[in-house]
Amino acid sequence: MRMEAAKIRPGDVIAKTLIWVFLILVCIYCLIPFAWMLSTSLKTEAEAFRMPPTWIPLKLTVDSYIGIWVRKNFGIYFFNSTVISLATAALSTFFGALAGYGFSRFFFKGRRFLIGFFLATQMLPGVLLVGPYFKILSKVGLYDTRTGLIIAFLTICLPFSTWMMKGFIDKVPDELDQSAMVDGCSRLGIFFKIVLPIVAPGMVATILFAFLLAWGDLLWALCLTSSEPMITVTLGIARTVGEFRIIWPMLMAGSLVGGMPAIILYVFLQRLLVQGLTAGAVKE
Amino acid sequence: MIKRLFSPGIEHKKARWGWVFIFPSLVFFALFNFYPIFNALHTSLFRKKLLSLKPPKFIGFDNYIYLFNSPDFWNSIRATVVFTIGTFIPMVIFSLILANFIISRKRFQKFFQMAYYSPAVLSSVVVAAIWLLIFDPRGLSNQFVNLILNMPGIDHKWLANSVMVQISTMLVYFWKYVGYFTIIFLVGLASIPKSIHEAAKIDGVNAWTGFWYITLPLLKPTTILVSIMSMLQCLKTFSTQYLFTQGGAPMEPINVITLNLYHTAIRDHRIGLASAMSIILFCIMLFFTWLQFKGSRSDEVSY
Repeated sequence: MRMEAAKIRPGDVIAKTLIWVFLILVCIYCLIPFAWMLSTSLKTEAEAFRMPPTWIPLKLTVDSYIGIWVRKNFGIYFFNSTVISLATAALSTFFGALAGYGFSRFFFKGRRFLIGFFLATQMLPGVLLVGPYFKILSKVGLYDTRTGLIIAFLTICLPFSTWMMKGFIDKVPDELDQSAMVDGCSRLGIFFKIVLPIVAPGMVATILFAFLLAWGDLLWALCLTSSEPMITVTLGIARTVGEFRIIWPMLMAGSLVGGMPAIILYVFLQRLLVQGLTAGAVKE
Repeated sequence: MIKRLFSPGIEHKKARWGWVFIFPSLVFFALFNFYPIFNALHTSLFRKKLLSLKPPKFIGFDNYIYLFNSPDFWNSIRATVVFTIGTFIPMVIFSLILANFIISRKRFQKFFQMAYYSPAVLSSVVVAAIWLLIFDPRGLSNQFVNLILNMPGIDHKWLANSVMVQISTMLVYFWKYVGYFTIIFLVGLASIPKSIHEAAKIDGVNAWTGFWYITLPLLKPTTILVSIMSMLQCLKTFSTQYLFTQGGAPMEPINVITLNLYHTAIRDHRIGLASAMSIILFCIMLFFTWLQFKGSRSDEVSY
């Protein structure tokens, strides 16, 4: 400590200040678009591009927020997105947990190969499967349905849910399984009654990720749905952008409402999200 | 060997349970992942139009030959490469710097993490919509740049000029993902034992030398991971470019492979050609995935 105190030089102070300034500038860059979205959504259309820009609207109005439900079908979009994302998140986490447990505990032949395969599919861009999916879903009559979209999202989410769940289950000691086996518990019993409750926080994190993935997708919704009653929030926003005249306050209100679930989940479950992020990304 | 196959030993029984647990996912994969991929491979050898009743005609590798002779496809490759390189290199460098800066601070670590990561939770569509507003000729970006350069009234054509629109898409992507990779770097940094830095400090190593000769080599696995992950992310980009073109930006400079693929398949219904395109993209991405596997395996660091 003493040495440190004696060693403070003007150069250190400048470096320290520069680091703070840099960190704060990046912070502003990250947060300003959020503020601008909020501010614009509360403006009248005439004020949206006022010069100089006003951060606090001169004339506060919530017309845009009413407009997206009344003049646009945001209610339907929201409902579709919610149903599809929830179903995707629940299914992919459940099947991911099953497979993750299988990979974590049983060293069968071909295990390494299969893990590699699961990981490789995680890298697949969705766009690859768009053509074949379009064909297959049209053939079985699932084109332009919510079920079709859920299946498509599951394809994207499952590898990564499996990987994340495997990471969480790896941390549960195998001795627990074995002692339960000695007590006469079946394999499925161990999975449902012992392992799943322990990895519950991990499951929540996985559900969150899958939910956000499905909620934020545009490509699949664009390719696999077409009619108004099947449109998701993201597709609704994209279509608004494509319109001849964009009403910016309304688009921003829609974006904010569409981004809300993600923002809320993030603010309240931030620790879990970061934990899940690193469980999937960084090897043990 | 034969004896082992037929005697249901404990290991064998255990292995069977492994398959039971993986079975549902495996079936799903076979149906909805492997089959479509092989289907794409198969379709790429045919001249086929979606929804047309004409039977597809087998044309061998003509689709691939057509693509490699098509200036439009080469333009897409150019757009993808430019976008990927222009985005992922600054992203890796900046997230590395940011992570090191954050971890060197004693206070507000959590706050900075949260602030930087927040754009990553938004969907790309919302992100693109916000930035379309900012890049509008009457929008914030022009006003901001003109304020700094002190030349009011100049339109920098963020969405109209072919160079600027490429930079704009990069800026958007950078904004969305820089925090995400910063957090991964932070985790990598946190796993380096403190004792190493303390030992270096006692030996009189200054911050810069410490970073260059101690932190960076130890961070090599994380750096490789982040590089490949961000590269793959950039190759996959779609929503930003799609929304920008929908919002009136010129198509050609930002017509990345995924966007081209979408238009070929869904708008033009040329499914054979689109499949060939997706196989090419798949090979590119598979190569990088393989590189990641190789990189992450050979570069284990022991502290």
